[in-house]
Amino acid sequence: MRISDSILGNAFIKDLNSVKSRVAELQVQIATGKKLQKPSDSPSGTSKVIKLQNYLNSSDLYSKNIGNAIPFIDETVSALDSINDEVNKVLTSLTELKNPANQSDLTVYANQIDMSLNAIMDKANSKYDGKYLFGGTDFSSEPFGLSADKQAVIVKPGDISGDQNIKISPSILQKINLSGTEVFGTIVKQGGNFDTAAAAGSVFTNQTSVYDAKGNEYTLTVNYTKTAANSYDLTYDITDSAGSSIFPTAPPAQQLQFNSSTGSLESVNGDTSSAIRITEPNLKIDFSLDLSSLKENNNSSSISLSANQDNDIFNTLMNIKENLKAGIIPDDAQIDQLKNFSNHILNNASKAGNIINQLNDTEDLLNSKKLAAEDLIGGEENVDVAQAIVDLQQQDYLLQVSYKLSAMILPKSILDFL
Amino acid sequence: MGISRLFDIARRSMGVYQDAIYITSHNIANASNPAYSRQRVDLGTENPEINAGFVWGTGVKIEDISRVRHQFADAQIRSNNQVFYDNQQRSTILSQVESVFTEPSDLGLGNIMDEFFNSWNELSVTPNSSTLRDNVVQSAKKLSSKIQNITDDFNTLQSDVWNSFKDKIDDVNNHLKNIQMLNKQISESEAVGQNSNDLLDRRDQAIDELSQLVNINVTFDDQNSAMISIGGVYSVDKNYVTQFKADAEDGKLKMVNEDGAEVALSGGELGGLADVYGNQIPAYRDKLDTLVSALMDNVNSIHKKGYSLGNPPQTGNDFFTSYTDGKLEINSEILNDSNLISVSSDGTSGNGDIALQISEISNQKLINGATLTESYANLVSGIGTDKVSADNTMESTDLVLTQLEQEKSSVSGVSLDEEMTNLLTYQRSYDASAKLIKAADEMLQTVLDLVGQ
Repeated sequence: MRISDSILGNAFIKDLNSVKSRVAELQVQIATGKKLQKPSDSPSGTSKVIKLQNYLNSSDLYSKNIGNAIPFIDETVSALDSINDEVNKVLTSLTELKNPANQSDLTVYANQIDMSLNAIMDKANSKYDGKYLFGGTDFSSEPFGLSADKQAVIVKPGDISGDQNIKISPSILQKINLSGTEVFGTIVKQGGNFDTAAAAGSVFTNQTSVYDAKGNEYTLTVNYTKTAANSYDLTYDITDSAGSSIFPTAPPAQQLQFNSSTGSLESVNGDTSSAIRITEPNLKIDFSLDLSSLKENNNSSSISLSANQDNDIFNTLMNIKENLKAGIIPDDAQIDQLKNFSNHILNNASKAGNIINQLNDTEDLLNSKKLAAEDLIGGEENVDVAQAIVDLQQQDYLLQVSYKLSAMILPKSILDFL
Repeated sequence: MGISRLFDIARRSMGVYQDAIYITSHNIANASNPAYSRQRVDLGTENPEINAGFVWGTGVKIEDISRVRHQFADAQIRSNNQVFYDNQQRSTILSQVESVFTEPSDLGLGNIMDEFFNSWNELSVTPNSSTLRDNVVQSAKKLSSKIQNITDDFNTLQSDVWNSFKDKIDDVNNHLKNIQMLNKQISESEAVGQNSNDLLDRRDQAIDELSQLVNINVTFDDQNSAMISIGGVYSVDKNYVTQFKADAEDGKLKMVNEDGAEVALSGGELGGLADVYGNQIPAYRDKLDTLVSALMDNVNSIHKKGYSLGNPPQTGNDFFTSYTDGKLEINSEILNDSNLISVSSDGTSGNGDIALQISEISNQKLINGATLTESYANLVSGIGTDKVSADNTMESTDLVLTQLEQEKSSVSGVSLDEEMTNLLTYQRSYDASAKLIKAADEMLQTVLDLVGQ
């Protein structure tokens, strides 16, 4: 091949440029510690980094959510503990009252119970970070307060049954509160199985006694009318001892829908919630009718209502106090009611403890997953500095050789020898 | 045969070698001119004379001053130029497109979208916190301004491409005029049998440069005029030249001549510019628009169902009001009062279901089975892949071009060693011819001396 002068010059410049651009690239990589500066450095790596970064960002958020939730539940547990302490104080007083020697001044005990009642109400109304611990999801006002006539404790804003849920992983929604209804509410449980084979138009009826805040007895009647396959209309009424309804107008019917294969309750009025709240504020009646264990299947059983009003601690204490003022010593049934409530509080505290455990476990898991994701990002993004420096030395060596060779060859021509 | 014949031969020979040294000096002078093709003196013998039954040589003459050229390499260089410069423009513009997205970094749209959805999630935990509500507004503003930035950058980039397209069409026009003029001069020289080596070099250079700008097809006629058509539009020969102008229509760049004939751009810098402007950038923008619209529509459809804070809580409000021309507008009422953000699904102040559902959008497969983040990652890595593919084509074509340039240079390039050697040879021949005259002169003197006695 004939070699013209420009061939050698151009070839040298071209090689020099390619070595130098490699040197420049390595220099940037070593200086920044990153080998992924722009998408074209590694399109698949960039895509991976963006997705992993998204994962990291959401994991950070889940950690943050957990971090915010734990103090809230801690606060809930401590409130429950204080409430339990107060209930036990009352129980002690009531035990003292069993001794006739102590029955001379009932007002002192009434005042003590009043103080405990206020302390419990104060705890039940406590909040953390602007959120009422037992207020469900309605933070517009304190959850519990005295009725206008100061004779009963009522739920103020209207609904304290809401669940506060937070995301702690892509698929886990964790409830972090104990709602007011759960802790202090009266729940009337509906149990039993409807017969799938029952004809449309069949009516099922059951009744139970309920008490208002003042302890007056009423009768709750719940009727179910089958309207179509798997569908029922629920109507209810509450009547006083004279047999007349407390509702000026009959409450509207609620539509229940059962699942045709599993038989469990699917929806109430199209909503997935399985509880109906029944209130009559003037008479201080407020409870939720829990339908979750109601079923429709082939093993039909009698349906039954059961009311447990032990958890309405405020009105229980209010009654005891008023009775004491009136000279009436509380009976064993009321003491049992308080004991039951104390157990109920302990159960709820352990529920809250379980939530904390669940949150802590999830956080540990998140942290280890985060580390793994960071490792993966590092693998895509970070430079192996040792390798890069070795490469740089190699390129530097090539550069020097290329300079040296060209310095030897390029300036020479026949002219040097003429 | 007279002595004078010796003078003739020697004189002619001196002239020939002097010319040969001229050509050598021309070669040496142009040694560093990349467009120059070395010229070679083709020597031949003068017509012989027949005298006294013998054939007598009459010396040397210049047969031709030829231009040493590698025609095959020329055509290949031109076709590779079109590919190389097309991809070079793509690569340059795509590297700017890459920088528009600032990925991978904390400042990229990916992270900002995460921030936006995470702010909703955080708000869902404490729905009545005004700090967290403001946080949602701030992150939405950040998202909106990032999208605006990207759009602005795209607009700037496209207007830069448009300007560059116009400038390069001006270059094409200048080259065409130049080529027509050279064609004319060359065919005139050829017609009278003159050599036009340097004109040919200049024209070859002009055609090479034209092939860097746009896809061309070159043929030559009998008189060595170049006839060039650009993307199917006949553009120049020795008598005809057309001029082009740039046109932007329906978001595409067009190159049309005076008669309205449109060039089918497929290579060269203009081909690259037109394709990036008309196809690649719009495709990226479409993907971004799809992404932002999906984000807006889904946020709105959930937000509408929710209730704001306040008494009474409002419902049915949009969070974003519109997305047009890269402007993602946030509901101005929400900007003024973050309590109007609908977070609650039932109107209670502590319910965060709506905020939670909005934050869930980031996990939903909204665009062709991909989540927003995934489809954004695809968009960005797609730009990277396009850039890499342009770079790779550029590099491989560059290797071919280098090879071809070397081949061409091997044939047409000047070698100083060779020229110096030629110079020595020609100089020696010149010296010898002069010596011959001296010898002839002495011979003549000898004869004259005889006469004088």
